Amino acid sequence: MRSKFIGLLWLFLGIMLSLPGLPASAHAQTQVVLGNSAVELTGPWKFHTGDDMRWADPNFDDSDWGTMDLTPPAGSTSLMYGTGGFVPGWIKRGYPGYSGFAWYRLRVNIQNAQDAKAALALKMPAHFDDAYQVYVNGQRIGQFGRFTNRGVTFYLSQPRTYPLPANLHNRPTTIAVRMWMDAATPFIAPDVGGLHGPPVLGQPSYIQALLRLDWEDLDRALNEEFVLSAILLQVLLVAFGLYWLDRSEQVYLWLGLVCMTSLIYSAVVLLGYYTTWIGQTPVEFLEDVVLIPAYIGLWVLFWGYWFRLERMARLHRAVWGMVLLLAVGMAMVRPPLYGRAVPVQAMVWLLPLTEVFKLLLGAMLVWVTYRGIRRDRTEGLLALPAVVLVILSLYQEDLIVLHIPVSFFPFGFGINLSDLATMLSFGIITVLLLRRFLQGQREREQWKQEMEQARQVQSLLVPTTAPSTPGFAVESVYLPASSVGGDFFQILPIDDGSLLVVVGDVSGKGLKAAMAVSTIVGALRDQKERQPSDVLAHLNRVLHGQIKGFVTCSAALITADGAMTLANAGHLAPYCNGEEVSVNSGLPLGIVAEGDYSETSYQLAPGDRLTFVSDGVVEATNDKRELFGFERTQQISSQPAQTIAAAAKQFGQEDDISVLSVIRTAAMKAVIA
Amino acid sequence: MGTQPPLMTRVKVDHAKHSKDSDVAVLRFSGDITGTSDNAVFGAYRKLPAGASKLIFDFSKVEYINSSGIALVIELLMAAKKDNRTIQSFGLSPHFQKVFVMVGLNQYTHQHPDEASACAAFAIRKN
Repeated sequence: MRSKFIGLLWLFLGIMLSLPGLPASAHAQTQVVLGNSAVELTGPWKFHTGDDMRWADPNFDDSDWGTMDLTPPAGSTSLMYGTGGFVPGWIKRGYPGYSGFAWYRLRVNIQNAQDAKAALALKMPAHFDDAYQVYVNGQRIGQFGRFTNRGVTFYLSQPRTYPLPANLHNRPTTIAVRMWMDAATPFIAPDVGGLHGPPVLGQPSYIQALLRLDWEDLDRALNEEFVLSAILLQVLLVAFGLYWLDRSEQVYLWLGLVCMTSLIYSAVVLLGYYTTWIGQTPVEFLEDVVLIPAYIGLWVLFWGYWFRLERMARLHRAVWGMVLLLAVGMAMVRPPLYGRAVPVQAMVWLLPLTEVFKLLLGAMLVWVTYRGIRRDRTEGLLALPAVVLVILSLYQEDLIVLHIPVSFFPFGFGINLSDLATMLSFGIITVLLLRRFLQGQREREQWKQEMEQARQVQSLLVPTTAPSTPGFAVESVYLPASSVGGDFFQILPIDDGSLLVVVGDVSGKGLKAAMAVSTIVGALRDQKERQPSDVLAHLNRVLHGQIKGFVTCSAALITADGAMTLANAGHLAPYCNGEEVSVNSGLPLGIVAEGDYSETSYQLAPGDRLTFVSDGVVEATNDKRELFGFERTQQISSQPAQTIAAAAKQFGQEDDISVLSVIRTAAMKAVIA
Repeated sequence: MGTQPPLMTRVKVDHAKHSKDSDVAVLRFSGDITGTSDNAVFGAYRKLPAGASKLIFDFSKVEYINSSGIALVIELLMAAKKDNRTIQSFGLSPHFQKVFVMVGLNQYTHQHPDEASACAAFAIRKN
């Protein structure tokens, strides 16, 4: 594109470059005749590895140097950038494995028939490794990177132009480029090293136009990075939003962390390409040592949570261990350690070792997917394309090493294989996430229906209305902490006019406790015992070994004349007319195989109010973490059951609340609360 | 509503401050004891030295025990009984002292006002 642009320019160009191999004294010069235009300095340039500041001198004899033609080979493309017109670096052109300083020199004779005093400028190629200084006739006119006695700070390649000194027309001019490439760069791609295009010499306005084109090229190459960042930001917000709504679904959190890492990576890339705020060394350190290992690890864990694998703690340990090994390995093969703390020859074994760590993380991802498919074939196979794309995006760099191009420019729009795979995988994950969310909604709806059915069953088992028994009035309130609860009570009238009252509380709450209640109520209705201690012993035998936890229970047999026999298995003592009834307490039901429950006798006078409460009353807790407690319970225990339950609920319900009051009446009429 | 997330349960295996006997160990509980305290409680119990035949349960830093927590304490007391260990307790709030009495736990452990009297109870039992 750049060649076409230059070719269309009206003014004629003339350039003949120094012929290689001539003696230094001859200083053979190519006559360059410039109009109001620009010319690519393809060379061949003289080239020499090493560093000597005398090589900037125009009079230096470079006749014994090698040559480096900067004419792009036909159809050449950068493996990394995907751009055309790419000149392979010195690694591929006779200097394999070389890093450090190298010099390019070119002698030109610039002629401008129209204006011998016209200003000139030089545009350096947009892609190069890794930093340079440009000298014209021994005078430094510019640099990209910082050259100090302590070393070279380099940045990701950016296009740059430099004004040339005045009065260069119609006389020999020597352009020297002092290049520097970091020791770790040869491991990024197989065609690195020095300049990847010819510098362009010409009049400033044209050079500025070319500079804009170079930036536009870069914009096109990075367009998808902006698109990807926008997609990632949206997925990140959705993932963290869903996690905020539903903390039980870990997959949202880990997807958010994946997106966040990827976003940081994109931000670092964009900052690196568009600014010189961060040197390439810290950029590469952040990317290769911190973000990429963490990113791969997070993907493995995300899929682990996605497939709902068991033993996630073990997977965490394995993943983070391998991430750490990969990070350490990457730190050894990247600046600033490599070439300084780590000897260059160590790369022979360090690089394959690091690659093994990286591939092992990939193997973990494959294993997680395999386990996921084994666990749920449909879910696993649906997610498989996304996993494959994720793997492709994670291992793009390894494709470059295998000489497989990873960047393309269809319709002038830059597409990077990794970013494309990432975008597609996030698209698939979003669809799957939506599918899972809808499925979860359906399951929740079904669960609610089942809980409602369980509540209806429980309401049949634990009646809200007490049977009418002459001589007694019964008030009852039952407020489960969830749809169904673990508290229960049964009022069983007996033919002789007495009343058997059984109240209890299954440890725990919810459906599990409700199922235990069903068992207890069933056992109570089947049994023929009437003596409270026998009733408890029977229930204990039924429950022992059948439930996890225990059941506190009180049984009271009240005869028509008010004589009460009471046995207690760990339940709260009842209150009579506001005073706690003294009872002997045995262990709760279900703990030991043979429970022994002693009985206490008590006389209820007409009008006496006997009140049983569950621990949901005394252990109601307010915002200050204060318990409702025994004292408050006792103070209100002579009030109607509804009042007691309401007071505990208002204080702060933590558990199922049940209150049952039996009043010995003369009117012989049951009162329903 | 008073519903708040429970405090994390911590259980520390410690030496008794008021006893030089090597067979006395203290389990110091802190936070809330609930159904989710299983690992903390039994993890600490498993760390007890094999020779620790006398245990003291220190509940002085326990804020709340729900019914599932009581179940856990019962399970712990049963396990200790099975391992032929005797247990004294101290530090329970009056509310939970009463709950312990209600659920019959005094069959397995006696409540004391402080660690010194809990240690002394072992000596009394020995004599």
